[in-house]
Amino acid sequence: MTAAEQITPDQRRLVGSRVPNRNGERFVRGAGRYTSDIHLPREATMALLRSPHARARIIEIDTSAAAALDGVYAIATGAELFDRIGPHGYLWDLPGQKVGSGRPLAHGEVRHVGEPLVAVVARDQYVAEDAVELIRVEYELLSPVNTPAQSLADNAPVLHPDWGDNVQVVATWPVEIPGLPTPPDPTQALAGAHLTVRETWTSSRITAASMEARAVVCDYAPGPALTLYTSTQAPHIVREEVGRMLGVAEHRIRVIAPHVGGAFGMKGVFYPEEALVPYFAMLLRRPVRWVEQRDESFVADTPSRAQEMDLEVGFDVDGRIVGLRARYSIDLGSAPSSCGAGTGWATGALLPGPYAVPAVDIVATGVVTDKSPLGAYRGFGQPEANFPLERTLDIAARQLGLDPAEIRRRNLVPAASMPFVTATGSVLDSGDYTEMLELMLARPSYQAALAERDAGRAAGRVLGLGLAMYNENTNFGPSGILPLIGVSTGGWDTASVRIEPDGTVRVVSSQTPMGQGIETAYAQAAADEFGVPLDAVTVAFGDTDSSHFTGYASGASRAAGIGGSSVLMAAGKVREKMRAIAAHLLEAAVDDVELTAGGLRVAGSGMDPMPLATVAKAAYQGGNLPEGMEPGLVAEAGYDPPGMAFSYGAVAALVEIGPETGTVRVRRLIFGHDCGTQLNPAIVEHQVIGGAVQGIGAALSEMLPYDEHGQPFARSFADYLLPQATDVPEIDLFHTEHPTPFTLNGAKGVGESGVIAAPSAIVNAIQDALPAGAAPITSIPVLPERVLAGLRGCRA
Amino acid sequence: MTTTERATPGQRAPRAITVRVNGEEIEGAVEPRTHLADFLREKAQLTGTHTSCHQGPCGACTVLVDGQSARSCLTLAVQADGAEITTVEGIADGSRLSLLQQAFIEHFGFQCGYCTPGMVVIGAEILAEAAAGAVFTRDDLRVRLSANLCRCTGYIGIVNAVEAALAAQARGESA
Ligand code: FES
Ligand code: FES
Repeated sequence: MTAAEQITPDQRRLVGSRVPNRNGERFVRGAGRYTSDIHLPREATMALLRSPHARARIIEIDTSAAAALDGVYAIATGAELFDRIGPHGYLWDLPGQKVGSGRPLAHGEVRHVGEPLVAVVARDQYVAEDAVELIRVEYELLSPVNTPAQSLADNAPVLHPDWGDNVQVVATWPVEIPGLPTPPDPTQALAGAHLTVRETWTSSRITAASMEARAVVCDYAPGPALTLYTSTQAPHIVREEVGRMLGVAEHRIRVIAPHVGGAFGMKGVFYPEEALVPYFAMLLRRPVRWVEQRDESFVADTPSRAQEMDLEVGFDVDGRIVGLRARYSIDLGSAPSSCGAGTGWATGALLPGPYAVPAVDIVATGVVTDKSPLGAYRGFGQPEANFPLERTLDIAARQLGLDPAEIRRRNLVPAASMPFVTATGSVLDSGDYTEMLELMLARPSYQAALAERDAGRAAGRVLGLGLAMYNENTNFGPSGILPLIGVSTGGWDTASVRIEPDGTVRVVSSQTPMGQGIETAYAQAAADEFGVPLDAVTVAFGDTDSSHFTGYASGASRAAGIGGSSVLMAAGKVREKMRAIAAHLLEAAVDDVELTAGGLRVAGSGMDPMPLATVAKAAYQGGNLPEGMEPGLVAEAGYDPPGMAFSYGAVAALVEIGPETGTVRVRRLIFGHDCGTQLNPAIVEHQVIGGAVQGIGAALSEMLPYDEHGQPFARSFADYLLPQATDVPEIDLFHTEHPTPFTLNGAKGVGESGVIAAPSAIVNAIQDALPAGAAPITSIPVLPERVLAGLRGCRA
Repeated sequence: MTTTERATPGQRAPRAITVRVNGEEIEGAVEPRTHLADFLREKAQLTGTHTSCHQGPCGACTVLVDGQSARSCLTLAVQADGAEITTVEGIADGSRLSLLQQAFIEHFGFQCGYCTPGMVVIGAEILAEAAAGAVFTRDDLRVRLSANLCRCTGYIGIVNAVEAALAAQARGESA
């Protein structure tokens, strides 16, 4: 590649352009490499016996018939492994939280349907499953604790006897911060309010349901040296946990996340299988694999949401919020996952959303029940906060005779107040929320939706329009703050940038792609930093042997802002070194050397740029470098954000209801969005759309219900209804860009934006479609029965 | 919690089958309970065909059996004996991506890529039908594509990709 060919003017600004995803050709050819695609010589397969009961004492387990089956290599029960595999740790470790045994297999008691209790390793999946069926377990059935209310009742059975009760953790706001004034108490404000709206809101238990289920494959070599392939967002966390639980030093463990077929937070949690597979690999001295089956995934993956909130909001005569009181439960399932009650914490801390709420009184209670442990899912507590508040605003608007847009306009945090400290102690960094609302209202598609609603109604159809606003906490978060809010790790992130001897660029990130497009966005950034075409950059990731340590891993919408900033920092260091080398070779002053498309040159000299390869060659030859300079051309950088960044937006939904069936069809979705600087607007757009469609599912069809025996109803995609292509309306998406001051590239996160307010907008629209006297819809998903009850004007 | 039926040893006796996969003859001895998806992934070592549910609803495992889309997780390998199978790996013409594959890239028809093989195969079936004279509106495409689930994209990029490929095909463009 000659200097002249290296770059064309239109390639110069890749950041900000709609560069296609770099995995494209691999994926459309079926050449992706996901964990379950990996087969190793002599591999054995693990399958798990999972509890069929919600709550039972294990009297006896007889594995003899299974052990005798031809092709079975190992079987272990929870009791047998209790002292061999230690407890898992907690990424979210809220002050005072209680924990379960943390062991991968149940022992003594089972506490939810699907809890693993025996592991079998055999020749292949078929034999392993046959063996699982031959295991006989005698149980003494106990009556399950199904709901938070049952869990908190006076005579409730205590799931973990050493806890004393079923409360895992309690968190409250406001928080006293030393050195800051005492936060106001809303009691007086609420008592003096012109209007208070109080309801109980339910966000049902739902699950990420990534199309790729989980899988773990572990290679073994003497030492031991373990190579673990796992479908995770957090290779370093997995390494840390496996090391601690199995007593193997971290440098002996390599964790690789190959292509990850969707994750959405669910794969940011550490799972029992990630400890069991390497355990058996070491025991048997051979590779072991485990591939999750779909029916398992509905009980073995951590779900999310599962909150019930009693929310009281006071308004003055003009519709301004004067104070807010919330009491809510987080149904954590049988024991905290490594994510603990993190989502519940986020709900409280972010409850005021984009609004100026002067005073709060919030108590969150995490409780255990006999269900699968709760984890993370896109939105992470924020949809659970958004739904109650956005619904409350609509109810208040109606009672005050205000337009739903007007009540929001009166309560949004004004742009002039940024940065703004909320009553829960969050700092809203930047943005113009009011501008976003006005843009939405002025949007032709919004006007068209209004007209369509009114015309349809006049023609006897049942239509409604709903509005919701949100902000999203992203770039999570400053390492100094994380321990104060119960996160046990740092929030910085690292990248390294290396110029290879031929002048091409290699970026290594500690973030893990899972469909969010960071491999493309980082390549754009690096190509711009060095003035090279995209093809001259590779981005490596997802391997603890090459990727640098990161604490929080991929999640919390932190890849673009924090990961992206670390790429810029590392590139900057390399550029400086290249300038120094070029200056030395050109016998010029460093300050006079610039890096431009095609290479380095003395600014204003009119010379042909010196290609990167020439500089790289000198750097790697090493004999002709500036005095005292180390050879090589690589730099690593870690970026720790000084603050979090809040993306934000407005969502409007037009829905139509089938009057006979109660089915809800989303006819239009209009989405205004701001995530600061967009590194790749097409990636942003598709992240928002994908999230918004997940929001349609959460609003209308997705839930993981349990019967009174603690048996889950949803065990397949036939029971758990994901949105299909026919459920998706055309989406009108628009953007503003208010960069955050807290990253180097101005980017805020985008991953979770779509999912936060879409359900609220849809439910507000459904309510708008129902007769004026219909009782408020207070829980999601809104199933057809509930809609029909609303149409009949009664409460379901 | 099993995805396979338990079988008696007699029922498990492997049978020899021959399947043409992407034009290449693959022979294998399979237990009668072995699904075509497992045969393709493990015997033929074509891991492009993904399984997400092994139960029928998701369509990730879609392949063409004698030109017709079928769920390879619900098809037994022995049923495919003698059949002509096209998997995602057989859609491109050597180094040249099909119009549809190009359109998936251009229109952001994927994120994590896991559903993509099934989508590309069902899209290929749609394009073949269109080439034979069938006409598809955008809504028709949504209905057809609702055979397959995608959790990442919200489908808009996928519908756009198939629509664009249909238009390109109608204009007589070739890959
Ligand atoms: S894997 Fe075949 S339909 Fe889901
Ligand atoms: S791209 Fe991830 S499931 Fe479709």
